[in-house]
Amino acid sequence: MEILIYLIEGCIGAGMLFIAVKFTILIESPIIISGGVTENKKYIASINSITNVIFNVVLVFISFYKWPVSSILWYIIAEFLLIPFSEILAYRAISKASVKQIIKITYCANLLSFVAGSLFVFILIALLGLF
Amino acid sequence: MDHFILMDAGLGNFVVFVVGPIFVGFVIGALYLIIKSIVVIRRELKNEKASDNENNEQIK
Repeated sequence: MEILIYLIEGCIGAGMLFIAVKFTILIESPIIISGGVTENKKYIASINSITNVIFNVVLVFISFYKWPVSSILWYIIAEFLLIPFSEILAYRAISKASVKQIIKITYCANLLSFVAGSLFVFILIALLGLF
Repeated sequence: MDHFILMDAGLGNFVVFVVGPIFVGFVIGALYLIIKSIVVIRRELKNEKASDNENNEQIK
């Protein structure tokens, strides 16, 4: 019985990560496809999931150290520098669009997902605060 | 004093039996997603290269 509870808890942990990744893919992929960077949905999903997973894992580990300053710093650095930059490099390997276009569209998609993710987290905290 | 010891034990149990499994699931999910993504990215890049080569040969 206890093992079943641990398994369910493990699934909750993995599910939280999968939901965060899916949410990002749902927001970013239409922008990247309509922006003409690439139409390869599998590639977009993989790039987004790899950047998002690394972002979330580092966020969890970094929050153990000097919370919340370190987390906020990592959030800003990752969302505005590391993730867009790595995604630009990844899209450049497959896309036939110009570098300017790739930079513009990738930054747009990432900023939108950043705003949506922040709103989602704020709403979640507000709802948790209500109950 | 006993009260504090009990409180500490409660917190320890919470961390070990509730946060621990959630954290382990999170890390396993992260590893799964990273490996899957790397495999897909490599395959898609290979496909793209192959289709580019095919197009170039057709043009020639």
